[in-house]
Amino acid sequence: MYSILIIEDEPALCCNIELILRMEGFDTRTAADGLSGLARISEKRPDLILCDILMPGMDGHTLLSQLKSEAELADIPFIFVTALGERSDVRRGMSSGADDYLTKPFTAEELVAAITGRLHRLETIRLFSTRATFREEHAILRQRISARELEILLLVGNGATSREIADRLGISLRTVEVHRSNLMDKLGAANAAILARWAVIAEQM
Amino acid sequence: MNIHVPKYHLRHDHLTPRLALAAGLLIAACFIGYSMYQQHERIALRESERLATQAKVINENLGRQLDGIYLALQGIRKELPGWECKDGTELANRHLRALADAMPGIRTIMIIDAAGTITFCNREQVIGQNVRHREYFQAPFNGRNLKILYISPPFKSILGNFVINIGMMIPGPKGEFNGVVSAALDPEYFKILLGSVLYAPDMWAALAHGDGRQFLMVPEQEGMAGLDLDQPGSFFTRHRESGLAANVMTGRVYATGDERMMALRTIKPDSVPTDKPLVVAVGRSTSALYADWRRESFGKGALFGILALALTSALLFYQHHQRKFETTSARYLEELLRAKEAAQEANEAKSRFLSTVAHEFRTPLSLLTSSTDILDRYDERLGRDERTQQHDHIRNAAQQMSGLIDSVLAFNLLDAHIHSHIPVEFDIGQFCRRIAEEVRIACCSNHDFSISIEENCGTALLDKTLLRRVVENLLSNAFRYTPAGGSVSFHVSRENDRMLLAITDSGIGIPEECQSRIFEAFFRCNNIETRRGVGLGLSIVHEALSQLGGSISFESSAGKGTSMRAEIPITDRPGQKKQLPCTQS
Repeated sequence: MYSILIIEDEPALCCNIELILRMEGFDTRTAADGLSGLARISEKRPDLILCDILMPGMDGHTLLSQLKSEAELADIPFIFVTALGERSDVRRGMSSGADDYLTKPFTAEELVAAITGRLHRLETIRLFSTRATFREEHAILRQRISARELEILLLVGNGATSREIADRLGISLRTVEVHRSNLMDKLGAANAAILARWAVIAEQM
Repeated sequence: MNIHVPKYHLRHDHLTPRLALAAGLLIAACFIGYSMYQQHERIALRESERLATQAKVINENLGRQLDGIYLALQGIRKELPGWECKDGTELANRHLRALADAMPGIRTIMIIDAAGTITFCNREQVIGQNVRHREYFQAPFNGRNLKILYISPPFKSILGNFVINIGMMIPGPKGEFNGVVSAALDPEYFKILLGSVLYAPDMWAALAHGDGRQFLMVPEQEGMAGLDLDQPGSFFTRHRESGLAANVMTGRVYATGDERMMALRTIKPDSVPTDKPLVVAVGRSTSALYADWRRESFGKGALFGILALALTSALLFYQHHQRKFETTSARYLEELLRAKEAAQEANEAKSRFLSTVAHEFRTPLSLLTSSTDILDRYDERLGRDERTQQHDHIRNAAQQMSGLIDSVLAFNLLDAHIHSHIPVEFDIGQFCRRIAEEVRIACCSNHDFSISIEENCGTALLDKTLLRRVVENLLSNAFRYTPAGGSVSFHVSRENDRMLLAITDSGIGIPEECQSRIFEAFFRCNNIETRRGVGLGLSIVHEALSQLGGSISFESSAGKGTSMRAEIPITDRPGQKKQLPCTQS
């Protein structure tokens, strides 16, 4: 189970993000500002960090630059979640080393897609380094899912939302939702995190 | 606001045009001066040539006259022995009369014997007179040269006018001195001769003997005849000293004292051997000669002066107006730049405001979106409490957005002075306590909060909405900018007809550099950039207090906290609201 650290000073929103990610099968922890976020990271290294920019005390940019200055923490996928929607703000966030940028307000699906996309890359790197073969999983994929479902699985693995998948494949949103639901049933994936892992395995076929 | 207008764009160089004008005027003056000088020289040259010509005419005439006299006297001398017989007197006189009448330049011809007595004469009344003392007798007597024509200096004749006598020695049988044959020149004839060369009213001509004695002058002037011109610096002396036969010179006339240009000529014909020459002078008054030139020079000078004055005045006038124009333009430009800067500032403030408002809306919107998403996607998996919590989140988000809209609208109403002032009577303590509680809950305060309301507050007649704006914003600022666990206190008291509100916190404080601007709309100090807020709270407070006739002051230091103190005039009865000045400390 992937571990996600949520750093957000707005308690209600922090609570909602945590709930969504929990529902999608992630292990979540929270912090209300940059300093306590750093403390959580040092307690246990998360697989991904979701962080607000404007926070009292240490803000998101400061936290990110501190992480980047420490070799063992610099590679943690980092996503900014912020209400600053100006292009210059996005540029600043990305140039300081953030992997993605989620602008408030965002939907649960956008949140999950962004996290899945980042974790998929992480998983790919991990699998390559362990050189696992996944013969059984490949057999399951070949037996259970159709070519269209495989296509959708790979896109989900790349962090695409249902709307983006529908646009890319030229099919309706509803059809994408049905395929996605079928995929989760066929692969026994209870949440987005498991589906993301299946996507990485599918890429090895 | 510092406006820097680039002066060099506007300020013209005023010195260069002035120097250029001065140089132009100087060149024009030089040109006019030079042309007038040339003209003066041309006049002088032309006139000297003309005067020299006139003098030459007289020279030619007098030369011929002397030549004729010389021949006539020689003829008389030859005939003289024939007249010295008996009855010869009558014949001689008749002969001399005929000769004098025939020669227009001769007035008197006489024969003088060796003793100086006139023996024959065309004028019989002078016969017998002894003229031995006269120069015209003495010169041949002393000279005793048969060939020389002796020209005597002018002398006053028996007739009262000045004459010149020209004579020759009469030799005796052995060549000894035996008398003089003499002819007196006719002044009237020479006056006509001299007068004939005058072509301008200011001219005169004069004839003088070689030793300097003036014979006559045309036009005649009193006391001029017989005057000795051989004086230092006189034209006559200068001419004689030059050694030349002809001269044209300018200077002061010895006899008359006026400035003249004179042509002088020595008359000494080659064919007539004379003991002394005659000197003729023809002159013009220089003042008359150059009168036209002087008039023209004065005219041109005056015209140039007027032109120079006009050009200088025009340039100064133009430069004066140019300066005025530059000053006005610079002022307008400065005003324009100020207006532009003010407009830019307003625009930037508006942009900042829109950006901030949008940012403030994004947080409750995120809450709203995520909560509705959670209810949509995971409803079946949510517990009862979780579902209730999501509904609360949705309500809170809606309230936050509503509050934001309220703030913006409140500011707009207050700023535009379109808030309807409705004073109502209410209990001050109760009202303040209720608002404080609402704010504390809304801000999810986890501070050490204390509220104290003095018992004497009583009731007041005030606009409740305005008072709410003041209390709400001051308190929410105190909660917002005080870290969790810090202290916030709210004290309400009354002093006669004034309500005092004191809100003190142990928060982040206001840096000194921001203190003068905290009541400006949309101003946010750099130490609160990472905290939520639109930058309207204190401007709403300020405006509301201003409309209540109240004032606000504060003390704050960064990192230690802030103490805000508002005073509002109150009254228990309608129409008795007092005004206090709005001050800051």
